[in-house]
Amino acid sequence: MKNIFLIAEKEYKLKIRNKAFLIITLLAPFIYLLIITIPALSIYFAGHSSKNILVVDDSKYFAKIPSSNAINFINTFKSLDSANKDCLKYDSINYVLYIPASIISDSNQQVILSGKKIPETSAIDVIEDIVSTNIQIERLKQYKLSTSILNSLNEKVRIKTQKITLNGKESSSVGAATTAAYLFSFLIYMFIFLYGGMVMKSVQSEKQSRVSEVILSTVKPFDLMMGKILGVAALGITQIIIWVTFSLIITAVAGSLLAGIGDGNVNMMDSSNVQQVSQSQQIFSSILSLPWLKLILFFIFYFISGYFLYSALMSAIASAGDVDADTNQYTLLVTAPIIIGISMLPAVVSNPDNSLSFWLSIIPFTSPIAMMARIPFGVPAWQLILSIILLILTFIGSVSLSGRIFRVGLLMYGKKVSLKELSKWMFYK
Amino acid sequence: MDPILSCHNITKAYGSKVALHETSLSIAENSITGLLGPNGAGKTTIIRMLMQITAPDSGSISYRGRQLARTDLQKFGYMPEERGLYKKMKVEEQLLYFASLNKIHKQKAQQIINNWLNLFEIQDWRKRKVDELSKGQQQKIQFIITVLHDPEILILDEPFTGLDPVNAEIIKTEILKLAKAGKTVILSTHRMENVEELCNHICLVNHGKTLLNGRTEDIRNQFDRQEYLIKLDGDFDHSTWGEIELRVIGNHQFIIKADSIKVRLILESLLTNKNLNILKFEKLLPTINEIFINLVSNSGK
Repeated sequence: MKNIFLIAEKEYKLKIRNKAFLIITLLAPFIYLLIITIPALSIYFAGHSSKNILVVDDSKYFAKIPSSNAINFINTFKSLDSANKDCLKYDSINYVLYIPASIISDSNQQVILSGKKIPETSAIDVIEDIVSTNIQIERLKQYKLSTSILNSLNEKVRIKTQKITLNGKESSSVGAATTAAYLFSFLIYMFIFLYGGMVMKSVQSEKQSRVSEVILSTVKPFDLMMGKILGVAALGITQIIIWVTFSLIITAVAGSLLAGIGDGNVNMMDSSNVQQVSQSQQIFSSILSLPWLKLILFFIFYFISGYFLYSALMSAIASAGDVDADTNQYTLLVTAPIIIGISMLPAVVSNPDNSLSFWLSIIPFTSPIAMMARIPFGVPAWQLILSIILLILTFIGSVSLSGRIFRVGLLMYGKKVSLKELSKWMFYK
Repeated sequence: MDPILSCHNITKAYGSKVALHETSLSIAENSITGLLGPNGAGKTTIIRMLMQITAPDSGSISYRGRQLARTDLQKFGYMPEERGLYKKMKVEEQLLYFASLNKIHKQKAQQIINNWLNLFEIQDWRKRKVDELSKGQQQKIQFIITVLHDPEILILDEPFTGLDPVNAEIIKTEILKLAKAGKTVILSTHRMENVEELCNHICLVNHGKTLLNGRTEDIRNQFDRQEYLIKLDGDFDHSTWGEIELRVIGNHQFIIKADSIKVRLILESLLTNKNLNILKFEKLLPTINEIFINLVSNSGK
């Protein structure tokens, strides 16, 4: 047992000093920073480069189109021709919007947007939206409908979801559950590949440097394999802790900075922005309503079990392979179930309770991913227990079986190993 | 004296390939035993079984008269033919790691390592990474790893390959010193000159069977062809010796084959001849190399 920890310690120390590892570990939070801030910054900069549009309204229905952050509508009484000339003359005018006289009564009439450049789609979308809403309202007005009816016609319906439990109703959100399902499943998939691959590399280099026989004359093969798996696990946990800490700090700092930018713009915000803010608050509160403790505990369990299951198999494959090409073929064989798991993820998330999702979350090779995708939506206790027991049994089986292959494979050189041979090794003394 | 290690009728097969077939051998305590045999004879399998890396399909291995146990491994120091070190680890760090796996306390390990590094005059390398060292330098580190836990039995698989004559001599001296200090050394090698020089015991295996196992001296006597080399300083009429098998190999130099009674007579006749000086009269024992080639080529037939 002591040797397992010595090996794990050595594995950990050797890897943590590796330059590439350090760079990735420290750089990843900054990549995360870029990912979270770029959208926010782009909105910020987009707000500053708002477009000015000259409106030539022959219909006289659009006396005042409300401007937004991105688009500034300016009504003019000039003719279309002179407005177009102004557009060419002044840099500050980006486009000219022409609304024909009979637009309300004649649906064949066309609204024209012209400019020095071909207008970009994002601008067209916004303008189309605003203009068609206004036309719709004006057309409805002709039926002499009251303003309150008009307003009620415009209202959108939002569905509020609830989960019924024995303790009563819990408010929940499909959006938040879906996000959590994708997030946790993806993290498990990523970590199993990342750290399983690391164990594999370590076994390969052990074999290539031919140090294995020296080591195996001192420690048991099983101890060596477990030491490597635990060492990389400790490394992974360190890396995850660093990432989570940095990400929290960055989120907090970036959040307060971006809020500052937002404050400066508060005057420019129109009602739709305010609506967006309240919507994001809603999403936030629904995310908070998820059973986080349960999710995190299950995540830790499925991550660790899945990692043990796959890293043991991967180390067995790495020990048996002689050249990288060999190893890669068998890696595919081992990783196929996990790839199936991740490719089925959308199906599981959209239908967490059908039989496909059930089986994927029970079969131990896919359960770490599939079950994590189901848990945010609620899973019957017996299914969870069954999945956990099967996974534990399988990972114990995989560790002992891999240990047997590892023992023989590590000392086998210059030989292409067939699957038949691999299975024979399991029974060698 | 009872052997320190013995294998009794061990058999080991890898699938259909039989590596060892009911092989028995014994290693005398405090000996330097040469484990000899052509490629694929089963030497590595024997060594791996002694090191408990693999187990025999049948038969048993005993240590000091009882079954060899996992806990005995501490008494072994093993330098495999396929040498390997952690390339990215520093020399000292690596030595300390192996010392800790062998359950040596850090302070004591440091002291032992210092002694060995001084002995090999390589103190300056302690902070260097292994992949910055030459092959011969790495071999020295490997040797230190083998002996740093002060094992009772040393198993060295081809310890001199890749070493220049100077470094080979240094390792040879250390092996002899360790044997003198009471260690048992098992040396697997192809180089017969090393065997002649170092080994007082021999174990020859071929096709998974033991062909020879015993003291080097005894084995050479066993293969005695009763040949003598004679060198004189002048012509001599050997017809007076009667019928005798004789090969002239040079000027006034020949080899005779005769039993001890006849040899005594020949020597007396030479001594009584006042006109001749005897420059050399030597019993020719077969070299280990000759015995090896002879036995291996015959056992193959």
